[in-house]
Amino acid sequence: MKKTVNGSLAGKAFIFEQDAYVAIESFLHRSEQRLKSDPDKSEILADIEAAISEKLTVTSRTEVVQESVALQVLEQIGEVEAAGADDDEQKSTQTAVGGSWGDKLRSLLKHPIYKNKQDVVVDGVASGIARAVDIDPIWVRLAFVGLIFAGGSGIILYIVLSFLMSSELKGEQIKSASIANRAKLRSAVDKSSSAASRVASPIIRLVQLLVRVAAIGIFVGLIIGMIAIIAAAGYSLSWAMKAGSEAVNLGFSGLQGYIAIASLAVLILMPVLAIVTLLDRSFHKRPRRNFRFDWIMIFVWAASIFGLSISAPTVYSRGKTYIETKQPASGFVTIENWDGELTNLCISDQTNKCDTLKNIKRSTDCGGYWYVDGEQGAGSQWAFSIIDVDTGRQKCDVVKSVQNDLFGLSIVFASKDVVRLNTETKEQKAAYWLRSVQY
Amino acid sequence: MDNEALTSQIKKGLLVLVVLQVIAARKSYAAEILDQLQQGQFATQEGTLYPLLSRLKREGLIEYEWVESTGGPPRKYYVLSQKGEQYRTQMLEYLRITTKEITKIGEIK
Repeated sequence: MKKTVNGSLAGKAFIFEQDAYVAIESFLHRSEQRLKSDPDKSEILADIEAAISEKLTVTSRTEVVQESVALQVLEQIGEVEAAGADDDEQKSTQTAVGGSWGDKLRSLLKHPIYKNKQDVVVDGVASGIARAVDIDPIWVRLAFVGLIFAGGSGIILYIVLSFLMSSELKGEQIKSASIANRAKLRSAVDKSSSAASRVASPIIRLVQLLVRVAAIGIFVGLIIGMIAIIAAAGYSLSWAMKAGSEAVNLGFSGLQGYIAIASLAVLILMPVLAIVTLLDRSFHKRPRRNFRFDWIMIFVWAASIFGLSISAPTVYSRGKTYIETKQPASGFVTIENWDGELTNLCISDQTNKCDTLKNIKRSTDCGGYWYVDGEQGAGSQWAFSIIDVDTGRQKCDVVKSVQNDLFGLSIVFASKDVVRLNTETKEQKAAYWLRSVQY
Repeated sequence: MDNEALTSQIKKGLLVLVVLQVIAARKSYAAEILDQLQQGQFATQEGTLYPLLSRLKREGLIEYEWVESTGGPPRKYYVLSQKGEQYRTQMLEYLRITTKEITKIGEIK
C-alpha cells in the first residue's frame, strides 16, 4: 500500500502518491529559488502551478497522482529558467544558493539537501552537500576521506547520509531530458570540466585521483563491512541464545520478566527511532505525520517506563539472589602456593587417585563436578582424600560442596567420619585459604 | 560539441524575437505559443517560456488580457504592444543585416 498526500495546485485539489508530492514540491521549490530575483516571481510561479495542475488533470488517469505521471508532467514543463539580464540568470540558475555565508546557512537549514546525481563518485552525497553550500566538492570529499581515519566515522556518516538524503534524480533527470536545458546543461558541464582541467594544477588532479582511489576503498570496505555484519549477526545470535538462558537465570522470566524486557527495549529504541525520524524529516522535507502518531509514541514510551517500574524490583531481587548463590562457582576457586605440603591434602576420584590440590574450580559445563589439575571426574562427585600427616592414614571422603568467600575456602565433606587434619604443619598462607574443613 | 550545443546560445538570444513573432501573428496564450514552437527549432517549455513572457510584459513589449475559456480556467492572451511591435521590427531588421554581414565576412578572403 502506498502512502498518499493531499495537496492543491492552483486551487485544485489532488491526491498524490508521496513520491509524486515530493517531486512536485521540490520542483516548485527549485523554481522559486531560480526566480528569486525576478520581480514577477509570484505570478510566474502561479502560472507554472496552474500549468502543472492543468497537465495533471489531463494526464493522470488514476484518482491518485502517481509518481511517474508527476515526473512526466514536470518533464513537459521543464526546469524554470530565469529570464533576467544574462549575468543575473547565470547566477540564479547555476547556484541555487548564493550570497553570504549567513544566507547559505539559512538556506541550508530551511531547505532539504539533495544528492547531486550529476557528479557522483560513490552516491553523490558529498557533491550534494558541496552544491548546497556552494563550494568545490573536492573539499567535502576530502573531509569524508579524512573522517574515515577517525574510527571509520566517515564511512558510517556517508552511509547514514546516503540513506537520509534523497537524490534529486527526479528533478535532474527531467532537467537533462528537457529540450531547452539539455544543451545548456551539457555546455555547463563542458565548461566546468574543461575549465577545471585547464586551470587545475597537477596537485588538484592528484587529489582527485586519490579521492577516486579512496572511493574504491570505501566500496571494498563496505563489502568487507557487510560480511562482518553478517558474521557479527550470527555470532550475536548465538551469544543472544546463551545470554537468553543467562537472562532467564537473572530473573528475566515469567510475566514480569517479559514485561521488563519489552519495556527496556521500547525505552531504548523509541528515542533512537525519534531521532532517526527527525533527521529523516529534516532531510526529506516530508510532510509532517499527524500528531496523533507522535502522541501514541510518547504514550507507549511512558508505558514502558511504567512497565519497567513494576517489573524491575522483582527482576532485580531475582537476579540478585541468583548472582549471590552463583558466586561460589563463578571464576576459579583456587588454593595458591600450596607448597611444601602438597601431599598432605589431595583430591582424588573414586579410584582413590590422589592428586595435588592446585586448582579447584567448578565446571560450569557439567555442573557439580570438580576439577583437580584440569582433570575431570567421571562420577557425579569427587572423593576428597586426606592423609593424616602423623599416622600416614588415608581417608577418602566425598566433597559435598566447596565454598569460596572473602575469607577463604571452605570444603564440606559428606562423611561424618572425622579425620583430623594436621594443621600445625601447614603454612600460614595455606591455612588462610583453607579456612574451614567440615566433616 | 554537438549541434545543439553550438546553436543553443543563438537560439536563446533569438527566443524573444520568436515569441514576439508568434504573438504578432495572432494573439495567443502560453500553451498555444508552446504548441506553435513545438515543431521547429525553437521548441521550448513552460519553465522557460513563463519567465520570459513575464519579463517581456515587464519591459512593456507585450500585454495580456484575460479571456474566459470553455471548460477551463480563464486564460492570459498575449498581444504585442506598440513598443513590442517596434522592437520586433528593429530586431528583424538587425537580424537581416547581421546575417548578411556575417555571410559577407565569410566571402572575403
